[in-house]
Amino acid sequence: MGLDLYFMDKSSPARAALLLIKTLGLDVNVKSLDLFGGEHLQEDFVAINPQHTIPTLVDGKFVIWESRAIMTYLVNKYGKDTSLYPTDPEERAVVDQRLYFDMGTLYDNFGKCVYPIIFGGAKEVDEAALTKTKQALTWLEGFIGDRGFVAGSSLTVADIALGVTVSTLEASGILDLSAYPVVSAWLNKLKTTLPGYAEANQPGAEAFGVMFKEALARKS
Amino acid sequence: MGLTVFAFEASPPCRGVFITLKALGLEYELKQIDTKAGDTRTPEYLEKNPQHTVPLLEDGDLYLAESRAISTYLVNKYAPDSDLYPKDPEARALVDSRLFFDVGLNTALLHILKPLKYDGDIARSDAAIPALLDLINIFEAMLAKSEYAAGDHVTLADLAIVANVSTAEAMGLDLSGVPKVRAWLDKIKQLPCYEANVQGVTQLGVMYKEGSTALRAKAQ
Repeated sequence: MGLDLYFMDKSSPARAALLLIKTLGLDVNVKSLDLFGGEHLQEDFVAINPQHTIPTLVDGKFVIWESRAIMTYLVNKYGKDTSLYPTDPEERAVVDQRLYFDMGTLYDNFGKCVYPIIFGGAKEVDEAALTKTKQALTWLEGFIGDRGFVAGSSLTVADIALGVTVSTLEASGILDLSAYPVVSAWLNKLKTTLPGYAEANQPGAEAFGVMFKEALARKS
Repeated sequence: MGLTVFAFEASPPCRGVFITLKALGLEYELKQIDTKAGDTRTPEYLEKNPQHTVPLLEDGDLYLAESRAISTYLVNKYAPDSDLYPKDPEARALVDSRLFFDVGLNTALLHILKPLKYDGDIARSDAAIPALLDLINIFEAMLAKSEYAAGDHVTLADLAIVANVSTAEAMGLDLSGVPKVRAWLDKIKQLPCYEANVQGVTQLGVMYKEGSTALRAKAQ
């Protein structure tokens, strides 16, 4: 039995789910899908997930997608200590807000910088999207502040979600992360202290960066 | 006690919170926000919410942005045994997954509305419609597997998604191909809490229809 994770290394959300799984010390069967080859659109996968997105988690009979819902589910279900997703309503609310900020604001605007180039044939990074991405990083600086983590003074799923987003952003090279010293220090801490970071996130983030830079360099 | 919500009615995420508050029978004070007039950019507002978004919840010392984090917080804090946000990890994960799906719905909706509201760009607005309809088709496929958005009874997922789907309907978008979505919409409209959505969605529907009609006429 065990956990099956439908995955692609270049995908930021897929890596976030995998990194959380490693942080919890759970076993997982990683099933890589070739999205560029349309493998996610095949019947068997669409039958599991009609939205045909990754990551998708299969836990016995239970299927769940949306990386951040996967992460909170795994802590709720298997977390030995709850600090990764605190049970106090107010602490949890702050973690939730950071997760929605990741999806709706930081990752969303970062996506608007890079996806038109990777998929849409755009030649340069959209200025408005870049400005909004920088603004989101400034807010992230504030969220971390002097507490050391994005949602308080200890590691939560929000750090993992946002950390993977920022690592992908860093790999793309669309901006200089050193302009955000608090974010840079926090990301470095995650890289050096999270178990499984080197395995679950590093290669995929790098692969994304290479793919993006190649797409940008294409002149025709 | 004293909950305060900073919001404006036409906004779908604001309506999501209004519907949830009504479903939970919670009293609150509404502070009307006019974003065009700069209400979210005052130093006072930015202190409470650096993201300068609506809705914003104030509960004692807690200032919480992100509509879906607000809704889950309200249940966790004030109605922890409510079926609207079940405690079972799997049931909860499904609700969470749909709440993140709803972020995508709202983003797609904004891609239609913002070019209209801020740039008078009807071409860009119209070009964004298929992407929203695509997500509504996916919601149709989800409803093939469950009666409500996240299982066999009403949850926060329904209350959030209805704010966006009712908006698509009010805008006059073509929902002829999604009978399950229309049936689901009719069911949710019967809920007493849906009353909190009516004024705002009507407003937004009218604004879109008038605005888009005028711009298309000008373009001819």
